[in-house]
Amino acid sequence: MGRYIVRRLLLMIPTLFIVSLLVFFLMRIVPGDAVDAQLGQAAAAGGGVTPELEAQIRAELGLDRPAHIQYFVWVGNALQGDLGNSLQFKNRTVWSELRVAIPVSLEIAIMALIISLMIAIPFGVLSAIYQDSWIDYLSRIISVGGLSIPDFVVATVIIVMPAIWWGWLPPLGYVSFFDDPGANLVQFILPSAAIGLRFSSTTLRMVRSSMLEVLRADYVRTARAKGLTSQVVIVRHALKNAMIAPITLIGTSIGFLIGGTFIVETIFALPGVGRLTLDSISNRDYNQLQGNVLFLSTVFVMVNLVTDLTYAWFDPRIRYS
Amino acid sequence: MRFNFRRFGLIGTLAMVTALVVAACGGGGDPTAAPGAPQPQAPLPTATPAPTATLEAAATVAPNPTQAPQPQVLPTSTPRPTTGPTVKRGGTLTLPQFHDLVTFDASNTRLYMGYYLNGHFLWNQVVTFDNKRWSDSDVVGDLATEWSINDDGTVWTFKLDPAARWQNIAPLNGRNMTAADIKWYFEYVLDPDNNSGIGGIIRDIETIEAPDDNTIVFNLKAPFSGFLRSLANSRVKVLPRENLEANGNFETPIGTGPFVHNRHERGARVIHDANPNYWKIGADGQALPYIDRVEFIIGADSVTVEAGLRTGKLAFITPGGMDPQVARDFMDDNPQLDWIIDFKLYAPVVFTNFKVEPWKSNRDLRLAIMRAINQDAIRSNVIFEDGAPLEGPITAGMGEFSLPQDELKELLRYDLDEAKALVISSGVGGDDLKVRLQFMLAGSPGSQTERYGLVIPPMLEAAGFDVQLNMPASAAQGYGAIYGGNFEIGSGFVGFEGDINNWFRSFYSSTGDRNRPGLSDPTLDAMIAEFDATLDHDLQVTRAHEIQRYILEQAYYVPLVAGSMFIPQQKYVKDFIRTWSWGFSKIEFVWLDL
Repeated sequence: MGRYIVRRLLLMIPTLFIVSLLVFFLMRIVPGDAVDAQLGQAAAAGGGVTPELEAQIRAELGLDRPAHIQYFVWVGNALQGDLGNSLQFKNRTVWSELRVAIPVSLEIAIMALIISLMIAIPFGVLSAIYQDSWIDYLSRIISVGGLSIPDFVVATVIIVMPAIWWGWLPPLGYVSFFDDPGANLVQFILPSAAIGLRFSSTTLRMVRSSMLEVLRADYVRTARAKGLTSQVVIVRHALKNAMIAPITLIGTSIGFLIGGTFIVETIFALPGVGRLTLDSISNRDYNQLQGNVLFLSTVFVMVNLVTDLTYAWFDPRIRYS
Repeated sequence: MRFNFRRFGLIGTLAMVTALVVAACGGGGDPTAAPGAPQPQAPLPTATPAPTATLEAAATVAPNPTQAPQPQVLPTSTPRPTTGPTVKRGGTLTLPQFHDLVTFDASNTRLYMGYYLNGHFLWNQVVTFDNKRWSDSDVVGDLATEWSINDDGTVWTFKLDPAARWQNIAPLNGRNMTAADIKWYFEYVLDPDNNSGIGGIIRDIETIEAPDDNTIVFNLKAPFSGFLRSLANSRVKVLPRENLEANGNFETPIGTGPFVHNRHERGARVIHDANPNYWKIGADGQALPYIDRVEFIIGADSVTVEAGLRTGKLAFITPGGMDPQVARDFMDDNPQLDWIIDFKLYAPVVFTNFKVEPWKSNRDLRLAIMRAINQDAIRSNVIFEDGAPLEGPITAGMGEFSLPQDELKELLRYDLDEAKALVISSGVGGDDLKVRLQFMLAGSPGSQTERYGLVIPPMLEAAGFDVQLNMPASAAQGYGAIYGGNFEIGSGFVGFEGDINNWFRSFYSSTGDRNRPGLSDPTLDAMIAEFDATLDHDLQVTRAHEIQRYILEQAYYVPLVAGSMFIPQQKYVKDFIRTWSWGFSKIEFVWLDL
């Protein structure tokens, strides 16, 4: 097990290296750079812009050097734990920006995960047990609905409808859980529900199909023949074995939940990693974007590793070598 | 047409549930075989009636701001009239802010958008615009109480309010603001080594004197009619020397303004609290401001902002207002809101790349563009406002300085036959008529910018141009293309608050810092210089007209109809006076009737 983990951790190095190369050079292919973005904002707001100013900003940001030099400088600093300063918020480090954003995204991710599992597991199990009954159809409606309606539509509807019908809106502007737990939960429940609903759909379908397969397995029939109650058969024998495939899905989705919720974060004005990444792209804040992508890649790899390790708990036949 | 959730309500929900049931049960069958009701055709864009609120656009005549000013006495502590019998104190003004605040350095015009909204809360300026409408541009004292000008218009003397003091934050600790502070700061921004950007606005100053604590004297290089308006420009605040010396920069905001910065939560909120040490007195005899706190919500989506307005959580939106198409539906659905409908602060324009031939010297070709653009079609299909005034090189909102509508109508007339003839007489043909039409701002789907982008190319093609539309994905990309000269025809915006002199100098002078297309005409430069040196008001108006007439006759710029700005505002917001500085320059007088 220990050697397996070490090997997986070592494999992270080339993965992250390739990610860093891709994000660094892909962003530089995109038209416009951080200087254009800053000049564009200044000019749009009425500020005067001259070629001299442009050259000066470019030099200040270190963007006047060849791209490969910029890359090696950045990688060299990153290896020492220095992701640099944001190109937009020049007085702030990339890590300080991430440190503010991560708890927001993490809270959404955890709440969305809880909501999705609260929908997916019971409905998925019941749907399999009572196949082709009304509860199965209801589960499939929820599942198809969640899959076919994008989360930004759900988010828009759940923020607009209460405003129209009841004149209600969740608190605007991020409130930390530690400052005001009540307001924080009210604020996060809707975006988490919007994401959780969509996420539950795929998990629900996976749980249902896995359960259907397991319920027809010989050992389940044997368990029933032994006279075990349905509850014991389903919870202790069937569900645990049926969870391996959904666990893979849940594991890989955690990375998505932390970094891929930018639309919902934007709609609900929550300053999470997704919105930080989106802003970084808009403003061509290369340093911030590279830092964010590196962070998210690391999260993905680590979560995948943890997911793989949990298989052994669900199915003791699985061994790592 | 905008999506109406209320109407959608029951029918939409039933339809969606039915569709999901069918999908979940594996039904659906061949969609082509379903007899379904015919789809209603989306209505084509037509001329929509003007909004119900009255637009008094062209009727407004600005007061006389550019006349050589007479010494005035404007005690800044004079209580201002209020709309109600009693002014209420307290409450939080919550506003959306679309861009995050990237710097508190008000001496820096770069990355300006966030500061633009926040600056008036924290700092004061020598004088400020005090108009009841955006279209006015009268200047009143802010830190100054009165001023005078010498006979040849080169020496301006301002008396400062002795009550003015810095916020009670170290290292200023609430000490009085003096003429020496202004002298130091203005010299700081004028020093090219400091790369301030503010210096360009007040570049006519040669020397500054501070004979005593409450008197500041500006000696100009030459008579300059727009000096007072330059000082009123919302960027020209006064920042303290000690702040720079103590912190090495201006990122810790300390000013003389009515609000003290509380905190900035990146990507979330900016909060300012009432300055308990503020030096201006309100209508109730106590220190201003009336509001306890101002809170900007950063980066909320437009859907959230609309929901915030519906529920009363957001007080109003600014700047920019709402897209007219969105605003009309929103007006119908939200009678609880007040609407401010006024001129836009800027005019959309079409221009050519003056750095290259044939655009640089072929007037016929440029004029062909002007004749090909049908302003009525823009009214009908872009801004949906039949009565919208024509814009000139400065907007129609500039009162008597704007060219009369009759004259604009003649100069900007649409005549496709003439446009075609001008293309032929220009001697340009073949591949030279293949043009890249580069927009400076991104046109998101359904936006007004996108509508301009849909309407203008067919007009130019009808005249004989072969147009490739380049609508940028971001302003950065658009500005990059314009600055890089990668275009033949461009489209963007012109505007400079109420500062006509800097407007002319900045956009239309060969040395202007916003002369993006590279216009260079010595005759025009001389006309602008002459305008700057003209102190007589009537003569100034005449010369402003001459400049604009010349720009249009040479077809350097083709102003497009801009239409009105639609701004929803909660009824509980009182005494909010919109000015060129987005209304916030008088924020201390705003109160909330909650």
